[in-house]
Amino acid sequence: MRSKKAEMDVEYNVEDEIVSSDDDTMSVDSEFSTASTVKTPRTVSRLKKETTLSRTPSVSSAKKPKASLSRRSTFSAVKSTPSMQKRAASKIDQTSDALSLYEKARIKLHVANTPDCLPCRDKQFSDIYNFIETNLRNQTGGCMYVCGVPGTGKTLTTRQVILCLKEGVNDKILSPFKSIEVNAFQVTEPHQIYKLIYKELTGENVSAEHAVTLLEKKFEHKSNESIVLLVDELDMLCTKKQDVLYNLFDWPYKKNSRWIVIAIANAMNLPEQVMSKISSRLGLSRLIFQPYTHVELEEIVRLRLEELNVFDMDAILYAARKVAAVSGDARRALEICRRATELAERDTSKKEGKSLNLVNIGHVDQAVKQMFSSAKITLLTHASKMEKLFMKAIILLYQKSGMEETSLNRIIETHNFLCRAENMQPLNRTQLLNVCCSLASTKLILLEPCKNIYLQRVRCNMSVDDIEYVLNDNK
Amino acid sequence: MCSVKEIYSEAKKALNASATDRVVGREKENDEIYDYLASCFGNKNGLSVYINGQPGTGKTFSVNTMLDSLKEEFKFNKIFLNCMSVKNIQNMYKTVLSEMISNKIDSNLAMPKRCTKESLQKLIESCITSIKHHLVLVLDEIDQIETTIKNASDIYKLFELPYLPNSKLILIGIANSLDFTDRLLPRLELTPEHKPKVIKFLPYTKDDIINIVKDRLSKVQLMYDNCVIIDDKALMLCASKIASTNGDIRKVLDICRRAIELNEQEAKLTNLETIKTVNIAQMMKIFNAVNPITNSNLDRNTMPLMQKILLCTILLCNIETKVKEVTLSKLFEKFNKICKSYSTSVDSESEFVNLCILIQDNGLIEVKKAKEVRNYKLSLKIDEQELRDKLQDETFMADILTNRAYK
Repeated sequence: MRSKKAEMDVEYNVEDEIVSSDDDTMSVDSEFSTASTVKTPRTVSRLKKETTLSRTPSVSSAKKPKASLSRRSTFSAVKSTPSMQKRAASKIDQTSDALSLYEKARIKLHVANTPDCLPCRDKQFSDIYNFIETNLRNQTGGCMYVCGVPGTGKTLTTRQVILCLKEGVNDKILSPFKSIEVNAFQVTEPHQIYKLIYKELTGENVSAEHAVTLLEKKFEHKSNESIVLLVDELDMLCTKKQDVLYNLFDWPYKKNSRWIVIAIANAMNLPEQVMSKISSRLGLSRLIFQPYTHVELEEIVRLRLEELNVFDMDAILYAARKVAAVSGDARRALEICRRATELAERDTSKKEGKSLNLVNIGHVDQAVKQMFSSAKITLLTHASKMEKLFMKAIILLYQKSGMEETSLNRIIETHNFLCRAENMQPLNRTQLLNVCCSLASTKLILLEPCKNIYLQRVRCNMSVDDIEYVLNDNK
Repeated sequence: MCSVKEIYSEAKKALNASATDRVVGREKENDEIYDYLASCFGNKNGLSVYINGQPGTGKTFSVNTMLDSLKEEFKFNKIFLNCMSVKNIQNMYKTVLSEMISNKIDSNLAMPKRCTKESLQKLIESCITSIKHHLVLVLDEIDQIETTIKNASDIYKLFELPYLPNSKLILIGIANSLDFTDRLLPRLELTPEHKPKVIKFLPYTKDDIINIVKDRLSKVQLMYDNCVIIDDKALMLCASKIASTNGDIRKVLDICRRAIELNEQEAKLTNLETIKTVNIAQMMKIFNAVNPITNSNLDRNTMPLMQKILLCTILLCNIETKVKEVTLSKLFEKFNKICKSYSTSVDSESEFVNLCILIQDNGLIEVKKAKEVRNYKLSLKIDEQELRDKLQDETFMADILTNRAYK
């Protein structure tokens, strides 16, 4: 996996890409150079300012106006495209002057910066929309179970459906309804969810016990307003008795009830795990959000970056494929791309006199490596010589005996032997105990406490292959 | 001629679970309850009834409609309580008492200042022996009280309330378990006259289900000049499928409603003037869509590649060791060995754990937590052979499974 050849390849690619992207930006610059001198006096003034104020040599200051120039060019393109999302646009509008193209890309790629409509989730959207809308129109109650792995847009899609329906209310197509959103992580204990729901519903603060009775009273009388309840992280509400789940799903079945419950959770098999009376009430309206495929992930990233020309298309595809192979989590893909942008930015600032280069596969690969590399391996790579020898001693003993656990005594013997073989002064027992403790505190090895400190059992907490890889790599 | 959309909407409304006030297909049981209760109202004494049956067989609904209709003949008060939200016996007495007060059963009744178990019980006892008209106490999901009320004597006392001298209490318990009375009330069995009458609600049969759906739709059909909303054959398919599993009427209604929704969507595409009948193919489509096994994303072929490889690895480990459980550390090593030969890998342990949890969410494996992450135990939750067959469909996975180097 961590073969040097691959890394070299990557580095080679990076350089290659930088050269080619530099060419691109250069051409952009030259195109605008004639116009810029006339049109943008501000960049010129800023150039003056920077040269007068900053002591740093002119390399960076000379670069900056160029970057801002190319940003300006893309920015004017932004204004002409009407399809762009409003919110993102306004955000950029406010601060545009102070931001480089990379920063803009980073803002757009931020997970919290959600678009107004989720790409690739149209079917799920219309499913939820139809479900709620039918129930609203017919003045009935019902429940729906929405499930899928994290980062597949469950909560966001449902929220957008409710927003969309609210707009329908404003346009007088639908009768008004109330919507409540609760997250099971908001409460310390499952029963407290009643309190939260009641508070959201009426604004009153009552005890959880009282809230149940009040809510149940509410269902006895015919109400003239539908209520849409969105329960996020439903699996947190599972108790031994499962009464919270039961009540949540029993309410829609009360006579005259106009209570619509949308429950969101990760586990697909939750309805099979709960009591039969709950799954009977939960019904069959189940909606599954499948993990995003690489095509969809690519689309998501591309739509966010629509008019910002910072990414190499291959780089997006690479990131999408990397994520789709493991989890299909959109948040992950965005995080990787954002990190890659940061890396590309750093590269650009390092390069002297050159401006903007595109984010390429090398950057993405680096970002992936940084995010998913094992902390333990990094830790061991930077461990002291004696610590490494200690680990080596454990491996040797493991290979000899085939047992995962060994006593500290035997390790000390082997360690001394190894030291001599490497022509070093062996450590005394106290020093070695220090080494052992420091390794144990970082959980690279696990210790089983014993009365006699030299008899305690030691086992390593990472795979032998990985340790061997690190130790051999160092020679 | 009314719009097609209206018919669909009305039909869906009629199939909503709470959208009816007529009991169909429970005549025998209803008659039984009716006779028993009526005799009791005439005799002016108390009694207890225990109704059991599987979820979705109309227990609560039957009792409620029965009591509503009895109200026209006899004078009595009714208190409905769901035992799911009862915390302890004291809490239950208190709720009953407050209901009594709010229903103005006895004008002298007031909530005591100190609510101990005994004082509340005394109050209820004195009340039910002195009132003029009967009091019907319906306890839904009564089998739940055995998890909350640990003291068996409290439950005995509860079931003895109807048999106090002059008591006017009628206790109706509703629950799923068949043997609740035999299991929990062995002492009451000794006195035959105090034995609650047990009425069984058997799962709906095929004919019952057909009748219920037809009854619900008949009103809509009458309103819109006898159009057929669901084809007889399609209804037959739905009914026999559900009747052969558990006879849950909620499921039937849900499926029929979704079939109509599907039909509506298809009709929208063709812009028909009149309503189209739901046919057997559409019904089958819904059945396939709601089947939980076909829902896992292994079948839909949307499972990410790494997750599939992980499943293969677990399968290989199981074959190798002949033990159903495998520790995470072993699995991780083997997994990376396989991955490396396809020049990919999952480096960090936390990432690997994440991967396992994702598959667990799919319901395909179970991850047993331990103190150290490396000691987590994983086991398959679906049949080995079934998984093998599914994975073998893909050449890549079949390659891994048959490659001798990994065994």
